[in-house]
Order: sequence, then structure tokens, then C-alpha cells
Amino acid sequence: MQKPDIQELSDFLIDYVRAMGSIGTYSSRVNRCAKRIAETFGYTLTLNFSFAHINVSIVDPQDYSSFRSYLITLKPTHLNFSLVRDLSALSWAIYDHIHDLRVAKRCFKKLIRIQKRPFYYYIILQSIANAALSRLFEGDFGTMIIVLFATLLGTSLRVLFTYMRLDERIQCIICSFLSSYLTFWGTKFDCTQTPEVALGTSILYLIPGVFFINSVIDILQNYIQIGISRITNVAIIISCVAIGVYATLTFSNFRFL
Amino acid sequence: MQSLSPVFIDMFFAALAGFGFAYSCKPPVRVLFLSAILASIGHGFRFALVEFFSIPNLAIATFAASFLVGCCGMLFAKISKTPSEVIAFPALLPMIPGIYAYRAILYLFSFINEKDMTLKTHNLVEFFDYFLTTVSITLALAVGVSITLLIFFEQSFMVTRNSGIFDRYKKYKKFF
Repeated sequence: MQKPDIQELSDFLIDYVRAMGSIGTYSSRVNRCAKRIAETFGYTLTLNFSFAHINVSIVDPQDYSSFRSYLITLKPTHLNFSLVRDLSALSWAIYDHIHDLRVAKRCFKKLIRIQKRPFYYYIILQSIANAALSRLFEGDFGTMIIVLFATLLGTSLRVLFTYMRLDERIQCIICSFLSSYLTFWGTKFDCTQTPEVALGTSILYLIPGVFFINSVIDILQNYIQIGISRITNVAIIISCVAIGVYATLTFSNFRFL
Repeated sequence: MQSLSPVFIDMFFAALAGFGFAYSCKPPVRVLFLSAILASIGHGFRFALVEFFSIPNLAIATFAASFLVGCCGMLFAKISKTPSEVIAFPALLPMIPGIYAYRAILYLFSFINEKDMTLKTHNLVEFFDYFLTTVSITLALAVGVSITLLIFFEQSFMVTRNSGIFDRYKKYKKFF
């Protein structure tokens, strides 16, 4: 196998690490996959993670003067587990049989071509999921219906806000407020015996559960710095959701207590 | 003997919630169903632990359920050649203690707004009760699944090997 030029490999690895770091996987997977690719082509890679950046250093172990170091700025995270699987599989494919960087690049470009899924599926399924969740918290049928509509409103707005590239924290405050406020109005029709469950569940689709689990895994796998940064970010988002609920509680004069 | 129907009802709604929440993570389509199955297994197991085995602490039951989800997730990952977190993480989302978190917020704000000292103290105690329950359940969820990833550390990175996605590039191997 012919060793590729360090610059060519660096360009590929930067794109790979940036993509992998922005789709909601934990740090050790990014590290393992990227290192596997670098080693396949005869280079040594070191990654240093922080919340919004990853420091990438690539060195040729046979010639230490051949060295590259980059600071990658990550894109805002959009969960894409299909891509996590595919990029992880790509790193193994490169290791096992794709020993040509040009082929690897071509595969990578095919993978990251955005395959959009219909947004209305997301809205509908998220709403049904949240309604089912309210049932798990012992909400009655009326609660499920109210939560379904509150989540429909919230997720629809969230899709719109994401399209408008509105800051995630502002999105959470607005969606949390509107979902919980719609729930508050819904409970006025006396169609539910569990208004508290309805209000508590109506905003749960905003809780970043996957990010929280990722951050705990990062901490347990000794990526403590990025783990703590991610937990802090989760705490900020949850606080934003709480602000939205607080606004509703203020308007409803704490009737649910 | 208690009826098992509440467990099945719980499992059904957990599967529904798991499926919906998993969709937002954009997993491969067939994995969506595996996530839904795992969500129903996990939530049903926790429900059974609390209801039938009288486990007094929800955090302990959650930890056991999360660990079970992690183990089953690893098994499903091997079968479907998909990273286990892709299957297991969305399955955990229905177990997030949202209602406890909400009550904690409610009591916190009531504590701030209350003038009467007795009620203020009551609200503070309630706040800490719900807050600590929320924190312990959430940590139990995350740690339970993380432990399986630590136990099967190497395997968790190996499952995507030979996944078949890039098989058509195997022909290139002989040229290099």
C-alpha cells in the first residue's frame, strides 16, 4: 500500500472528525474510529476534545518532521445515528479492505450527503411518543390528548425555529412556554383528572436525554473535560425548559400545585 | 397473584414512546423497531420490579432496567451490526424522570413565592425530595447503560466491522 500524503490524509480526517463529532456520539468512538483510519495509512493521530472544538494532531511516526495540527470547530450537534453507524463502519472498511484514500473519500462524501427525512414524521411521532409518555406517568386519556396537541405545536415550532437557525436555548424557552401554556388551556376544559401530569409531560420532548447519557459515558471513559462541558450544556437547556414552564405557572397562578 | 396486564400496558406505551423518541435520533429504520422493543423491555422490567418485587427505590429499579437495556442493546447490536448506543440510548428516554423534575421545579418556585414559613419549609423539603429523586434516577439511567459499554468496551467498537455497507469495495483490496 502506498502511503498517502500527510496533507491529503489530514484533510480527510478533519472532515471525518468534524462529521463524527457533530452527530451525537460519545468521544471515545470518535477517537477510536479516527485513529483506526490514520493507523491504516501509516500515521499516528491524537485528538483532544473540548465542547465546541477538537484538536487534531497527525504525525508520521517514521518522520517526525512530517506533522500537522488543526483545531476543528464543531457544527451544532444534530443527532444522526444512521451516520454514526455508517461512519463507524467506514473506519472498519478502510482498515480491512479500502486501502485507498481516494476511495475512502468517495465513500465518505456519499455518506454525509444529507438524506432528509420528512419533518412531519418527526412531528407526528414525537407527539405520539410524548402522549404515550404521559400515560406512563399515570395520566388519563384526556391528558394524552392534551399532551399530543401541545407537543404537536411545540415540535412544529421547533422544526420551524431550527430551519430559521434560531439559538437552541431560545427555542427551548419558547417551545416549553407554548407547549405548557397550551396544556394549561387544555386542562381548563375539564377533560382530564391529571392536569399536573399533562403539564409535566408536555415539555419532556425538549429534554436532551441522549446528550446527557453521552456526557456520563464520556466522564466514565476518562474524557472528563468534554463530559463536564456537555453536562453543563444539558443543564443550561433544562434550565431554559424550566423558564418556559415557570412562565406558564406564573400565568396560571400556580394552580397546579 | 397479581394480574400481569398492567405490565403489558406499560410495555406497550413504553414501546410507543421509545419508537417516537428514537425517530428523532435518525437511526437506521430497522433499528427503530429494536429501540421500541428495548424500551418496552426496560420500562416493563422497571415497572415489574417496583410493582411485583416491591423494590422501594425507583433509582435502584431504574439502574437494573438500564443495565438490562444495555445488555440487550449489546446483543441486538451484534445481530444488527449497529453500535449499541444507537439502539439502547433512545430506548432509555421513556425512563427519564420528567414528572419528578417538573414537580421539583414547581416546589422550588413555590418555595420562592411563599411567605408563610411553615409552607416555605414544606415546599423546600418537597423540592429536595423530588430533585434528589430526579438526579438519582437520571444518574442511574446513564450509569446503568454506561457500565455495559465499559464491560463490553472492545466489542462495542467492533460491532460495525463487516457490516456489509462497503462490501462492494472489497474488490479494491487486491490492487493495494
